[in-house]
Amino acid sequence: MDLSVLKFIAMGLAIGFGVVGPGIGLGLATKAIIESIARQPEVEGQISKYFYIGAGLIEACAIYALLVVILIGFVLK
Amino acid sequence: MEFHIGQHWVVNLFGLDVHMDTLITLWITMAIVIFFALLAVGNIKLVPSRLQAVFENIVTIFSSLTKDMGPEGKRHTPILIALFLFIITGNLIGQLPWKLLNFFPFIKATEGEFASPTNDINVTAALAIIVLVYYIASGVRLKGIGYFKHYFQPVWFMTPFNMLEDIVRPLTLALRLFANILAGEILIMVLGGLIASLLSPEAISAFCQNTLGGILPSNWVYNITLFLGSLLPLPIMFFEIFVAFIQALVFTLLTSAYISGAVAKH
Repeated sequence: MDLSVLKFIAMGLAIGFGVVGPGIGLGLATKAIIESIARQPEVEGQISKYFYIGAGLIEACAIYALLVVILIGFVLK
Repeated sequence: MEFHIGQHWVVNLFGLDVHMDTLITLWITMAIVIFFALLAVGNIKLVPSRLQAVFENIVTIFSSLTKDMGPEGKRHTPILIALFLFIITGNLIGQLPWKLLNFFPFIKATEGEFASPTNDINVTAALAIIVLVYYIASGVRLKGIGYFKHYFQPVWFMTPFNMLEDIVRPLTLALRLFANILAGEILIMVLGGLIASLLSPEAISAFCQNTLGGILPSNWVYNITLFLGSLLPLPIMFFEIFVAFIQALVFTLLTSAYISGAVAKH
């Protein structure tokens, strides 16, 4: 098989498997914050900032996968 | 559709390869931060003006972060504020319409995109190394040579892992900021060129002839579709403003966590 074809397959597999974990993590974080706001609606302003920071940290994991994709596709020859 | 990812306008200055686009936006960022900071503290009033109120809020937030770092914690507030202001200004500056610089032929903006200075790994790596040196130095300053005892805790064979932590921390700090900003720019670039790369004038003229029955001129339809397609990255741009704030906050919060870990009493 041609090497460039393998490269495209590797890019697709890397981003595809790479976003599974952060997706689960974001789902769990959203579930937790919605449950806690439903239980105590008055804490929304206090805990939502931690959610945003946590979501930023979780999202960074998916972006590491994107970084690997960029490395495979555009930087490494 | 062509991609320019990680390409920079390289200029050789004094034997060093310099990314000129990053350097220019970096200096603009520094100028903006210094200008507004001087403007805010230049005319301090008891009833704050709007700009002074913004800076007072920032100082209050970061003072509350460093409050629980012990009696010397107040010393670490300025570096956190400086990092936050620099990173958020650097992230937001990438949303300015730098493409307009392509009209000036002497600026080789086509070789590399003018964008956020933080989409260059060199800038974020430098920031992360500043953080690494700063938290080790503040730990050494407080505890003397005894700071390095924490490498041998809890048992001696954990030493390689504790040392690995000092490599992983700046690496993830740099990569997180760099990759988030770069991913946003790639997303905007891909969405901005998506419609233009999918459409062809022949397909549009065939669509006008067959489906619309020739009631509209095909070049009108083509241009209107291109215009609407160029509006596609707008929501992502708003999201990028949010991401810029969150990433600056994450960088600063992690820095404060590392510093408070280094100065904590064991």
